[in-house]
Amino acid sequence: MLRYFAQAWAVARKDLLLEARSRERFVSMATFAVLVAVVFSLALDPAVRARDIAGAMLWVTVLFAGTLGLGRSFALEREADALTGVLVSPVPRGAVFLGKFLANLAIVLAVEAVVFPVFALFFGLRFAGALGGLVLVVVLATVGFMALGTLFSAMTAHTRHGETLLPILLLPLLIPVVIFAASATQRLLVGRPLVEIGGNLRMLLAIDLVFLFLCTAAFGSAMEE
Amino acid sequence: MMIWTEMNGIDNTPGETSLQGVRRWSVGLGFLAAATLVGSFWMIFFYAPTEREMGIVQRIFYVHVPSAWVAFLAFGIVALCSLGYLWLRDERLDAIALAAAELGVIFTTIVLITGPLWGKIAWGAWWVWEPRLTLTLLLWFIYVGYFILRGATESPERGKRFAAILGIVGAVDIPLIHMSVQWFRSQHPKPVIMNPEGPTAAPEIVQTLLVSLLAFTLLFLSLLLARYVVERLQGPFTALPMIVYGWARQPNPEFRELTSAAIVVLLFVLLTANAAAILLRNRYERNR
Repeated sequence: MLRYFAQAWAVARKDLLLEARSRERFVSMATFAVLVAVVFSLALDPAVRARDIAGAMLWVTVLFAGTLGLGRSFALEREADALTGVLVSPVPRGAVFLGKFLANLAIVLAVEAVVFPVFALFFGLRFAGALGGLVLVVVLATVGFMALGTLFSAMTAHTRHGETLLPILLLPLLIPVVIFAASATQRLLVGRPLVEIGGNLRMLLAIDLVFLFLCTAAFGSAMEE
Repeated sequence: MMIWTEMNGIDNTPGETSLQGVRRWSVGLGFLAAATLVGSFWMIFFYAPTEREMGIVQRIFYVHVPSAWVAFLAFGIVALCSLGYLWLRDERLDAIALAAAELGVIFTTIVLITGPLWGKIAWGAWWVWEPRLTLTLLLWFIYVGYFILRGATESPERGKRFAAILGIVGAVDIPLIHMSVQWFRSQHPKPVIMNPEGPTAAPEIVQTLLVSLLAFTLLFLSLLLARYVVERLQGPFTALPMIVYGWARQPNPEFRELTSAAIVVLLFVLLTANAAAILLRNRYERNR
């Protein structure tokens, strides 16, 4: 079991090292997300209070930016045919999946660490009172998002026009994550207590467990060569 | 050449007899479905009373509800057969899953068309973000994605695997979506909505609905088997023109050459055979 996680970590470390050297995905995702925030603030009617819809805006932005970055998760390995190398190594497919998942999770969480303060700055949101709850919501929602995202980016990397295919497949399946995450975020933003989003957190946790189990199991079938 | 073996390797050609048996079942069920549908139409228009509150528009309910039921049945079949396919790698299971997914999308489309037609009059709006409507719409998108994913892969075998995975993930996601959209609604005040089922149901209404359900289920099974037979006929050596047609849609340049060659050869064989037939007939008739 320990060995399994060590192998997963090796895959994750490889991806994170690549990302740390090039910062290709992080920079494009964060820039895109900040641009979306700018577009939102310019497109919104001044009469609309941004605070009332910030939860929805935040999660739509994260969803689009995350999907953008996920497209590159396997594309890079595919281009250099490095994926074959990963797959022929004596690492179980589940561990490969877990490693890719952890790397994606870390990168998207880093992007979110930029996106949320930027939104707070642009729209005058106050997170300070509910920082703990917010972090919990963000982490739980991103785990579910990345579990499905990693599996589907692995599949769409093997298709034509995979980059456009990924959001089409991913968005309808991610609706539960978006609904629970956006409503929890919105409540925290308007200063509701943490207990009120207990149900959301439990649902997000359940979704995470289901998606993680399902996608780890399915990854083996997806990656047969 | 690898592609050629790949295309051959995927098939364990079914016995002609078993496919013919399936076809007979399909035709038989089709006749049964047609008879039941005629009966149910008679019941819808003459037997069932006009519902008091909603009026005549309520009769669309006898098409709407059976379509929804059939769509869910289809997506259940997709999930089970996809699971079976990933496990056993039996081409027949994939063919059933594909047939069921196509029918599921068609019947979901019927649900999405009949629903707003009714809703415009009963609710006063074409579309409401009501949990069931939202779920149906998302289902439609998920299973349209099923076909896009299937068609976008370079090797047919991989397309089948990916589609099977999407079929399973989609089915597991359905209850989650259902829970989340209900949660979502519960936070927003509902507009004044009548209970979609109608407040009271007379026995005639229930009977008509049951007959419609039976008719649609029979129709679904008949179409499922028919589509299955068509899909199975696309194996190698059974329907050469269909295979050539399949090649034409492959992006790989190797397939393009193969398609051109196959079309030229087929054309040549066809013309030669016809010429031979004409010559033979002419000679035979002259000699007679």
